[in-house]
Amino acid sequence: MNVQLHRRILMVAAGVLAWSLLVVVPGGDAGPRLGLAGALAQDDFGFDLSGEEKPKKKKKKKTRKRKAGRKKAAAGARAGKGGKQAEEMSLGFEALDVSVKSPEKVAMEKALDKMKDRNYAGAAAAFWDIYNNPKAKQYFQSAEYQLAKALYRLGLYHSALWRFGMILDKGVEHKYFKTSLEWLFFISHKITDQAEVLKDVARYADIEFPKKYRDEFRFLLAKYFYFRALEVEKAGAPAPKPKVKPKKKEPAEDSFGFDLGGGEEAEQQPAAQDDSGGFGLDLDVEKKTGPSALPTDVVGFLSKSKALILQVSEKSKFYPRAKYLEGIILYKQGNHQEAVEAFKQVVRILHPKTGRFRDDALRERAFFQLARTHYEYKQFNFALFYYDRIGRDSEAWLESLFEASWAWFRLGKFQKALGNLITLDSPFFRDEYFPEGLVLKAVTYYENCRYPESNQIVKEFQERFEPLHKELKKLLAQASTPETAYRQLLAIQKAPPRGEAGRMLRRILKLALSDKDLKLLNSSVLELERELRRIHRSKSVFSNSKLAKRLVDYLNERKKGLIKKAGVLTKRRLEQEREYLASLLSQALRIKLENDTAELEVLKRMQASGEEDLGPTLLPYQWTAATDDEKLYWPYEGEFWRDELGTYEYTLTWGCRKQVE
Amino acid sequence: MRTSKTLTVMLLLGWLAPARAAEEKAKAPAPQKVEVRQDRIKAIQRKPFIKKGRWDLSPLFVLSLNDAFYQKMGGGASIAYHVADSLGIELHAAFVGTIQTDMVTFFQQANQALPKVSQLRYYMTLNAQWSPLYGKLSVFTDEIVHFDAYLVGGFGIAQTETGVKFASNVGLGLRYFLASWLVLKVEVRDLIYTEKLRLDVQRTDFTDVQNHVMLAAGVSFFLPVDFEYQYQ
Repeated sequence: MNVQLHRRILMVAAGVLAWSLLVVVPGGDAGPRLGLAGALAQDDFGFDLSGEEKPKKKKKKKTRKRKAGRKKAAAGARAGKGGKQAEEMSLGFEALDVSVKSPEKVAMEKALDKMKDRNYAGAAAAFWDIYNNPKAKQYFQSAEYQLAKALYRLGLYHSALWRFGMILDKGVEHKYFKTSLEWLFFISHKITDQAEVLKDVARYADIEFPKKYRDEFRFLLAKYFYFRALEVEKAGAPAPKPKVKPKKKEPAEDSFGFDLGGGEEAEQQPAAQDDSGGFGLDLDVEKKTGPSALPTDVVGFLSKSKALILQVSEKSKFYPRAKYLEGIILYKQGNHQEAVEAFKQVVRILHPKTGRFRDDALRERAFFQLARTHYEYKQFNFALFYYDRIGRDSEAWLESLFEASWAWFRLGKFQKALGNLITLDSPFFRDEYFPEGLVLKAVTYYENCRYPESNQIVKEFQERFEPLHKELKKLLAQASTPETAYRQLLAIQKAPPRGEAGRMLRRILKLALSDKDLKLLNSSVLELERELRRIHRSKSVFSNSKLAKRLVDYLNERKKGLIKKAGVLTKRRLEQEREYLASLLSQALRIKLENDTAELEVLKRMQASGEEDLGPTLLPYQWTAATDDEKLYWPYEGEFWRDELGTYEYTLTWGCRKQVE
Repeated sequence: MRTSKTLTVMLLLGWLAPARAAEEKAKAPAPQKVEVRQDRIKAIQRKPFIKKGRWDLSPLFVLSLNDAFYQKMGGGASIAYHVADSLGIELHAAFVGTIQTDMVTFFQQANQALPKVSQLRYYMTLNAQWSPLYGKLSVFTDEIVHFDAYLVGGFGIAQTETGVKFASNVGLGLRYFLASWLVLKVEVRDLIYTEKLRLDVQRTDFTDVQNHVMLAAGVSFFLPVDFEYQYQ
C-alpha cells in the first residue's frame, strides 16, 4: 500500500514536473508551444498576449541586427520590419500583438531606432526630450549617453564634449561613466585644444585605460599637468581645488535627469557592448574608476606629470614625446644635466637611421633645447653645434639663426653673427620680426670701434621700430577690455593698416598669434563658430528643437568665455611686445650714447694734441674665399639665393679687435 | 616633349652659364646701409652633393661630332671612383657602329680619292677627372640645380678594323646633380689614335692621327646612394 502510494505520488510528481517543464519551455528556442501558460509574457505590464512569440521576435531582431551590419542598418531595419510583419501575419498573431508599452519606453525605442537609422539629428532631439521628461526616470542615463553620442555623430564635438563631461560630473555611479571617459578621449582627437577634454579626464588620471590607448592617455595627461603647472606658476597662486562636482540639482530646463537618474534602469547592458560606435574598447581592464585628487601647486603638478611620463612604455610611439616632456620638466625643476640627457636621448631614439622612431620636428625641438641649455651655460660652441642641427625647413629655423648669432657674437666671431642677420633681413623673411637683430648689429660695429656705422644702424633701428612702438601703444590704449584687444587684433589681421607702420603691425600681430596658447584659443573659437553654423544649417527637426536652442546657448557662452580668455592673452602678449620694444629702443639709445662718447673722446684728444686722428687703430681683417672640400663659396652681389640663406658670412674688413680664429 | 625641350635648354644654359648662373627671384638692396669700409659678404654653402669616396656608374650614349663621312654611334659605360671631391679616376669604354653618309659616295664619285679608313669598333681608356668649376641654375622658379664642370684625360686602346691601337683622349663634361645618387652627365671627348690609311687611286699607305670627337650623354648612379658630411 505504502509502496503503491509512493509510486502514485512519484508518478504525480513526475507528471507535474513534466507539465511544469513543458510550460516553462516555450520561452526557449526549441520547446513545444503548448499554449496559455506561456502567454504570460516578459513585459513588465503584462498586456502582451502574444507572449510566446515575443522571445522569438527578440531573437529575430538580434539576428537581423547582426546580419544587417552597421552600414546597412537602415535598409536592413526597414526590410526586417516588413519581414517580421509578414511572418506575424502568416502565423495569425497580428491580432494578438496589441502590447501596450509605456510611452517613455516607446519613445526610447524610437530614438534608438533613429540612431540605428543614422538619423542622429532626430535621435538627439528625441533623447533630449526623454532626458527632460521626469516620467522617463529609468531612461535618463541611457538617454543622456545616447544624446552625447548622437551629438558626436553629428560632428558637434564641443556639444558632445559638454554632454559627456556632464556624465563624468556625475561620477562613477553613472552607468556610462567609463565609456564616456573614453569618448571624451576620442573627442580630444577631434578638437584643436585637447586641454578642453583633458581637464575633465585629468580628474580620473589614475584610471587604468585600455592598453591600446594607455600610453597616449598618460602622455596627454602628463602634458596637461605640465601646462597646469605653468598656469599655476604664472598666476602665482595655488591652483583652484579640483572640481569634483557633488550630485546636485541642475537648472530645471535641461537637467531633470541629473538627480533623478541615479536609480537602476530597466535596460542593463554593458557599456562596451552598447557602444555602437565600434571603438572596441576593452573596458574590462579598468581597475580604478574613482576621481583622483589633483595637485594644487607647481611642484605637485610637475611630479604628477613626471610620474605619468615614467609610465609611458619605451615601445610606444609616444615615448619620444614623453621623453622630451620629461626633459622640459627636468629643466623646469632645475635638473639641467638630467634635462640635457633626456633631450639627447630623444635625439638618439629619433635618429633618422638608427633610431626606433621617426619624428624630425621633435628631434629638432630637442636640438633647440640642447642649444639653449648650452648657451645658458656659456658653452657657445656646443650651442652652435646644436643650432646648426635645426634644418632650414623647420619652423624654428629663423629663431635658431638669430640665437646662433648671439652665440657667434659671444665667441667673438662677428662675421658669422652678422652673416646670420643678413639672412633674417632678406626679402624672403620680410614679414618676420627680429628687431633685436639690428641692436646686435650695432653692438658688433661698436665692439669693432666702427662708431659711425654703429650710429647709422641705431638710426635705422629707430626709424623702423619707433613708429611701431607708438602704434602698439596706441592699440593698447584703445583696447579698453581684453576682448577689445582680441577683436582689434582680428580686425587688423583682416584689414591691416597701410604703410610701413601697418606692415610692422602685421608682424607684431603675427607674432602675437603665434603664441601657442592664443593660437589654440583662436582655433577653438573658430571651431565653436563652425559648430554653431552647423546647428543652424541642420534639419529643422534638430535646429528648431529645444536641444538646439540649449546647445546654441551653451556654445555661445563657451565662445564668450574663450574670447575673453583670448583677449587677456592678446593684451598680455601685446604688452610684452611693447615692453620689449621699449627696452630695445632704450638699448639702442645707450649704444648711440656710447658711440658718441667714444667719438667725443677722439675729438677731445685731437683738440688737445693738435693731431689729426687719434681714434682707435683699425686693423685690416683677413678675407678669404677658401673653403673646405665640402663647401662652396659664392660671392654676395646684392642678390639673394634661397639655398644660400643661413650661409652668409659678413666680413668686417676693418676693426679694432684681434680676429678670433 | 616639353621635358626634353626644357632639358635641352637646361643643358645649353649649363654650358653657357658662368659659375654663378641665373638670378634668384628675390633681388634686394644690400642689407648694409651704413658707410662700410670695404666690408664684404660671402655665402659659404655646404655642397649639396659629395663625390668623395663614392663610385660613379654611368651608362652612356655616344655619338661622333666631327666626321662628315662616317657617323659613329653607340653605347658605353664608365665607372669612376672619386678620391676627392674634385678628383676622380675613371675607366671609360664604348662600342660604336659606323653609318656611312651620302657624303662618301659623293666624294668618291667627285674626287675618286677618298681614303679608305679603318673604322673604329670600340675604345677603352683609363682617365683622370678634375672638376675645378661649379655653378647652379634656377629652374622652374623653385628648383635650384647644382652642376660642376670637369676635365677628363687619359690613355687606353682603340680597336679598329685593322687592329688595336694605342689611344688617348681628352675632354670636358658637365654633371647636373639631380639627387644624392643621380647625376645627369654630358661630355665631349676627343679620342686620338694613329691609323694607317690607304688612297684607292694611288694605292699608297700613309699614317695619320685620327680625332674622333665624341659626345656622350647619360646618367650616373652614385654608390653608396647616400653620403655624410665630415666637416661641420
